[in-house]
Order: sequence, then C-alpha cells, then structure tokens
Amino acid sequence: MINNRLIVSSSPHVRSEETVSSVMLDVVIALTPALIAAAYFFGFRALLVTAVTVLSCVVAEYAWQKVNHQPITINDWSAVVTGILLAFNLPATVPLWMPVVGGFFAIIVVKQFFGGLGQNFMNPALAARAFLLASWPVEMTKWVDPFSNLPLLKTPDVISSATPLAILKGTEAAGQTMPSITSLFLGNIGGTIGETSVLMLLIGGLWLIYRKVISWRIPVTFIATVGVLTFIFGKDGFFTGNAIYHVLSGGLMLGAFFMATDYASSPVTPKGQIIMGIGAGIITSVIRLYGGYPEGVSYSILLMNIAAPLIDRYTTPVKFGEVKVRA
Amino acid sequence: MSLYKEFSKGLVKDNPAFVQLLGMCPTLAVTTSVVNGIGMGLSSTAVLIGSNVVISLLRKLIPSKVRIPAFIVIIAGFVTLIDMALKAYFPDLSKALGIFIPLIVVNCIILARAEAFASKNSVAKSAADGLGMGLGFTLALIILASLREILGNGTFLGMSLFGEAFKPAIIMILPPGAFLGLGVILGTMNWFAQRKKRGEAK
Amino acid sequence: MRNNEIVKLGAVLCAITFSVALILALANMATIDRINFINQKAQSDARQAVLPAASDFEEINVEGLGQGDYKIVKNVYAGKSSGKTIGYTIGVGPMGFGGEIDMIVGIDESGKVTGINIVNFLETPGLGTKADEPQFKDQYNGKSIDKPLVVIKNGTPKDNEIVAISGATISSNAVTEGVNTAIKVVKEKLK
Repeated sequence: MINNRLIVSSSPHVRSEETVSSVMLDVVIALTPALIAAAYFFGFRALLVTAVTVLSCVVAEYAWQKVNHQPITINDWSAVVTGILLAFNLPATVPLWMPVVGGFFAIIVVKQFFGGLGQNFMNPALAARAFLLASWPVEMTKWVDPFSNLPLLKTPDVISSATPLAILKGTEAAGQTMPSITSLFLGNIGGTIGETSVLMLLIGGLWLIYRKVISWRIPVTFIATVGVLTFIFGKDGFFTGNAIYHVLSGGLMLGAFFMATDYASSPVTPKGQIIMGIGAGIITSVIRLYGGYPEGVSYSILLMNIAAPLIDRYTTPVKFGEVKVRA
Repeated sequence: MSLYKEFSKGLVKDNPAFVQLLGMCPTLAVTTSVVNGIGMGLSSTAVLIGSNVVISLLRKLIPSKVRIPAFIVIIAGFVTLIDMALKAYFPDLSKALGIFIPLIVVNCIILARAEAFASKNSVAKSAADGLGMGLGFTLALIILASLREILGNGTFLGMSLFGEAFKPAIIMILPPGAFLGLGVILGTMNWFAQRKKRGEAK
Repeated sequence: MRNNEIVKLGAVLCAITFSVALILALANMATIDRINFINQKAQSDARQAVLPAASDFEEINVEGLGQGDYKIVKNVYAGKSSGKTIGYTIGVGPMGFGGEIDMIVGIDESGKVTGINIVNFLETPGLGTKADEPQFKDQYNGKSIDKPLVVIKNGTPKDNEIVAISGATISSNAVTEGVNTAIKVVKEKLK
C-alpha cells in the first residue's frame, strides 16, 4: 500500500538525481560489454537466450502486478536486470523454455512473493539459477567451447565439454589441458553465457564503482579472499595453489561485481559488506577446493545473502555521541 | 458435536497437515510419489484410530501428570504391533512401506490428537476423530504428492503422463521441492480463505 | 504427600509400560517364527534370482568375513547345478542413506556379475528406493570383475562405470560399494 501522507520536515534537504530506473540502467550499461563478448564467443543463440530471459522476467512481473492490482513497475528496469543476470548464469545450450521457467521463478517466487523490489532476501537471478540447476542438472551443465556454431531455435545436441574449473578440480575432466591465462582473461573458454570474459566484466564492474552504484568493498574482498585462500591451500601443498587461474575462472568476476552487490540482499553497513565479501570468498574457496562441485560462487553468495540481516545487526555503526551505558 | 461432525472436521476445516500444520516431517519426506503418500496416510490412519480408541478407553485411569509418556508408550506399542503384523502376514506391503512404519511414531498428529481429543472424549467420538484426521492427513499427502510427482517425475501413480519430451523438474522430488510445493499450497489456501472472508464481510 | 503422589504416578506408568511390553512380547512370540521363515525365504529367493541357473545353494565358510575390508559381508553361498559350482552369491550389507542395505550379489564362474537383488533397505522413498528399480539395478548385470566399479553422476558409462540415481548419490554409492566388496571376496578369497 502506498502511503499517501505527506511528510513535512525542515531544511537542509539533500537532493539526488538517482532513481531506481537510473541505477538499473547503469547496471544494464555495465553488463553490455559482457553481452557483446557473449555474442562474439557463443553466437546469436546467447543473445536469443538473454532476450527470452529478459522477456520472461518482464512478463512475469507485469502479470503478477496486474493480477494483484498493484501498480505496474516494469519500467523501472529491475526485471530487465534480473533477466540479463539470470541469462548470464545459463549455458548457451539451454532449451528455450528453461529461461522462461527460471525468469518466472526469479520474479514471482524470489522477488514478488516476498514483497517486490527491495524486499528480496536472496539474489533472484542466483536463486533461480540454483532452482534450474537442481531441476535439470544435465541441461544446465552442457558447456560448449566458443565458436561452436549453435543452432538458433533448436536445442543443441552436444556432448558437454569441460570448463576450466572442472579441469582444475580434476575429477570429471582429468587430464585435459588448461586454457592459457590470456584465454581466461579474454573469455575464449567454455562456461555460462556471461561469466567467461573477465576483461569485459571488469570494465563493467569498474563503471559501476565509478558511477557509485556499487561500493568496492564486496567485490574486492570477495576476489581477494578467493585469491589468497586458493593460493594457500594448493593441491600440491601449502602456498602452491593456482590463485590466478582460480580468480580468472568460473563465475567469480560476474558474481563478485554484479550478483553479490544486489542492494536488497547484501549488508548495508561498510563493515558488513567487507564481512560478506570475505565470507563469500571463504565459502567459494572451500567448495571449489574440497567440495563436491567445481564451482561455488552462486552457493556462497546465496548463503551470505541469508546471513546479511544478521551481519547488518552486528555491524551497525555507533551513532555520533552515543555512549555505552555502564551498568 | 455430532459423531459425523467429529469425523468431517479433520478432512478440510481442521486438516492436520494443511491447517494445523502437524506431521510436517512425514508430509515433506514421504510425498515423493502419490503411492507413497497413500501408503503412509493409510498406515497413519490405522495407528491414529487405534491409539485414539485405546487412550480414550484409558482416559480415566491415566493421571494427568504422566499423560505424555503414557501416550507415547501406547502409540509406540501400536506402531510396533502393526510393524510385526505386516512383516509376518503382508511381507510385500511391509517392504513397500519400508521406512514409513517406524516413522509413524514421530508423527505429531497422533500425539496431538491423543492429547487434545482422545484423552477428553468418549471412545466413539475419538474413533471418529481419528478416522477424520487420518483421512484428512492422507488427502493432504495425496495433494502434495501429486504436485511433486507430476512436476518432478512426469508420472502419476507411477504412470507416465507426458511423453519423452517432457523433462521433469527434478527439484520437485527433492527436499526443496517439498518445501516449495507445501508453501505454494498453503499460500493458495490462505488466498482463498481471505477472499471468502472479504466476501462475507461485504 | 509429595512422596505418595510420586509413587502413585510411578506405579501407574509402570503398569502401563509393563502391559504394553507384555502385549508386544506375546505378539513377538506369535510372529517371530513366521517372520524368520519369511526372511530366510526372501534371502534364498534373492539368491535364486541372481543365479537362475543354479539348482541348489550351499553355504561356504570363508575366513575373515565381517572384519576389516570384508566388514559388510554377511555370507557366501556357492550356487551349484548338477553338483558343479557355477557361481557364487555374496550377501552384503553396505551402509546406505537410511541404514543398512541388505542385498545379494551374484557372480558367475566366468568372472561376471550376474546381477544384484536388494532384499531390504530403508532408503528415501522416491529417490534412494529407485535403486531397486530395473533401470538402476540392471546396470550391474554382466559387469566384469576385473576392475572395481566406479559411480559417475551422468553421461555414458564406460565398462566399469555405473550411473548414479539423480538426487540419490549416497544410495547409489552404497549399492556399488556392496558389489565391489562382493567382487573382492570372489577375487581374493575364492579363486
């Protein structure tokens, strides 16, 4: 319910030019380099999957708000952002109905069920991705190498190739050669639509920090923690880990800059954000090094999302002039 | 309340799983297929009727201060009896129900009805209550199990519903699917209840 | 006063638990023979199912069962046809998700697994219980005992690989462990 009361307060007032849609548009701009890279490496199908996901998210939000007699807010572009982020977490080979299911789940279940914009306790795109992965594990892990010439509408019938993290883990893709660092940096590797090009994601992430849409705290601490831990706990003994490969592989760049920083599901306080970054880094490293999956970024972010309110509670800054009461 | 009302309240209005939110453990764990739901529901109903009757018969003899341990001993005894009877005379059914039988002991519904009803009412009414609650529980299990089996396995009662092309959402037969399905069912029930209330208020 | 009350409460509880225990003991006595008979029949039926060509089974005394590497092995039977041993059935009890999986593994003289039969298990209904379905069970038919079997999550299995049940990795691993231990018994204790 919109509160129609007018609030009267005296000056000074601070005006900002930011609106929800301006912030969201900045995010869309930040994601565009990675989208171009996705089209370059994975072809038109990547763009098609992204378009279908975005459309599903927007339609889902419109439908829900219409049915529940709520004001339609699809022009704030938040559903579009969720759609792009969800698409970036899918392999380019998914059957086209899957992003539709994912989009509806992200917007209706994770976002609207809990109160709409700003009320989601988890990142909707990541939660939807986890839902899709648990529901259709085979289709969600059909990785292809770049330049694979994927058919547009038909679901590609390919044998899954290995991602760099799978090769690092050594279980399923044992013995295959690791791609070069340049390949990892530019994005000439297998993986989900949006996660492969570190260069493009970095450009987008730095744009967001420059525009003050996100703070440096979460991405920097997240990535640094993963780097440090994967270096210390190497496979051949302490301090022999392949930190550079770990930092440049998988969904770390995408997750650290674009997913972990979602306003509604991350801590508000500066100290809290650092804690979230470190926590997510620890969980990601543990899952990658010792857990059952080759990649741990999405689960680590979701787990820290759940912990965010608790983190906020214990890191509230002391009010100016506040003094602890002595018993 | 008449005998029939004691029976019918457990079916919808006071449904033990969907309204009283009792017996959540078996509801979530066992509803991976409709057959399992029916099996668990009917076995629980048998135990529920039996324990309600016995506790109602003994209600004047069990002192209030030790009623909980007394109820639990009686309920566990019943379940063990049924377990032995199944193993001895219906081994195929016993193997099919497998882990469900021991699970009935921890089903809150049985203890809750013993405490809330059977210890305070006549044998006939307690039997009716047990039957109604048990069947209501079975109904709830069937509804949730149908949702999970159709979406998560593409089958109903083991029969394939859709063709080869349908890829079931495996998450629905995994634990998260149980919570999701239950949440959606409860939300839908609440939505209808609120609409009805708003309609009546007008 | 308090003491009296505690004694009275204790006495009533005692009476109830004693009566229930008595009824259960009587029921147990009445059914134990039948249950044992049914269990033994289930075991011998399972043995016949995995070695259909055998006409009778004779238990073999194997050293070291139930300890160390063979901790989960319960018994070994030789399946005979016209007096000649044509294969072995090994009863194993690997730890599944919900407890012990009581199963029988059949291995014939040519060094191939003839099949498995799950006699009893307490796995999660709809997931781990899929281990008893032909789609999973029949994977073991014809597997050679040269190399130990490995469980893979998905994809096309090689000769010594078994595809796990989606969502029931622990149950799949347990059954495979049972088969591998049976293979070990045949290779190291019987050949």
